[in-house]
Parts: sequence; C-alpha cells; structure tokens
Amino acid sequence: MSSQTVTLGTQTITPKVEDLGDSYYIEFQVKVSRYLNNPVNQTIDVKFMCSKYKQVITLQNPFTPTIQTVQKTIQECVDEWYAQHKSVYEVA
Amino acid sequence: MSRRLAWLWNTSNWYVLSSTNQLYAAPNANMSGGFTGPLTSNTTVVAYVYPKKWGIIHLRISSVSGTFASGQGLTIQLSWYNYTVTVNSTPITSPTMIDIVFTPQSTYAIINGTQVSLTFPFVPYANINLNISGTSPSFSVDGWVEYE
Repeated sequence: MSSQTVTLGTQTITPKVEDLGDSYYIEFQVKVSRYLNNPVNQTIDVKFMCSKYKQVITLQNPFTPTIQTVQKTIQECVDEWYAQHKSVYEVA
Repeated sequence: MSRRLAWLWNTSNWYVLSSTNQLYAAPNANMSGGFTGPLTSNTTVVAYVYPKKWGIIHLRISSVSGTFASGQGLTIQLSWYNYTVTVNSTPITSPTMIDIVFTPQSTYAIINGTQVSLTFPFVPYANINLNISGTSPSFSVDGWVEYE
C-alpha cells in the first residue's frame, strides 16, 4: 500500500493505493453533500479498481496518428471515479 | 459447437455492448436502479441463454461506495421459478470478481478465486437479483455470459 495526496472537489484526501500490476486498487473516505436527489451530510467509504494505463493519441500528423500508452496518476483515477459517480454523489 | 459470448452489459451506462437477435439479455424493464450510472437500489437482470454443455455468468464489481454496517452491501441471488439461491452469503462491500458456473452436473460460484457450491438447476435462463443495502450505496457492476 502506498499513499499520496490528491484533491476531490475542495477536499484533500490521501487514498490508500495498492498496485495490482495492470490496475490500482484505491480506497479513501470523502464527505458528500448529496446522494441521488437528497441532501446528506456524511462521510462515505470508496473502494474501486482503476486501470493503470491510458492510451494517448497524438494527431500532429492526422494520417499517421501516434498512439502512446502512458501510466495514469492517482489523481486521474480519482477524477475518473467522481466523473462516473456525479449522478450519485456530490462531494461536500 | 464453440464457445459463444451471449451478451455484455455495463452499469456505467447500462448499454448492452453486444447481443444477438435470438440470444438477448439486458437489464429488464422493471429494474429499479435506472438505466444510467452505477447501481444504487435493488436491480434485476435476466440472463437468457440456452447452454447445451455449460454456461458462465461473469460479474465484475469494480467500484463500491457508501457506508455499510455488518451484514449490509451487495447480495446476488439467482432465481428461476421456485428456485432461489444466494450466491454470496457475505454481502459485497469492496471490488469483487464473481463467476457463476452452470453445468448439467452442478452449479457453483467462484468468488475472488474461492469456489462455492450452489444448489441450482441447469436452466435456459435465470434472473440475477442484485440486492443492495447500506447508507448511500453505489456499485459499478459489469456482467457477461459465456456458454456452449
């Protein structure tokens, strides 16, 4: 397990991160102010898997695009989780 | 007959990612979890497949969030007519890999690599009930079926 600080909304969190080879296992707690359509005031546990790599396509020459595989940051993984859960939660 | 992939769904968007005309499965019209976003309430999906030799329902729970007391989380049940079986006796509260294997001789689940026997018949289709409890729960679940 390693840990590093990232931001989620206005909160600074320090997720626990486990490197599983091709993916990360990430755990953290965050305060939320909305669950679905209801205002709430609670701290939730979040546990998720995040693919470790992403592909970046560069179109400097559109006829021969360059595709690179690069490692994602933990911040990107947390941002990705929040983007997928914006219909469910709003972080406080 | 070779191995076939019957269908695939993803609760990030609930789209059926692949299907065939005769062998169709999708979140059903009565599902209460909604057609977009992760699951937040009890949800039923139906696996319509007609396996000759075997079938496997693959479920991947890639994201879990909320607050769960002891005994709360995601519980998966299979049902077919009068048969109902609970796949995981301990509710899921963290990312989990589940394969449910059907053969004419036996049905069993493999949960994070551990095999669990299930008393369930070899049938052409089954409801998969995804039962959710907890405070502000959310589960991302991908599922697909292989069969032969």
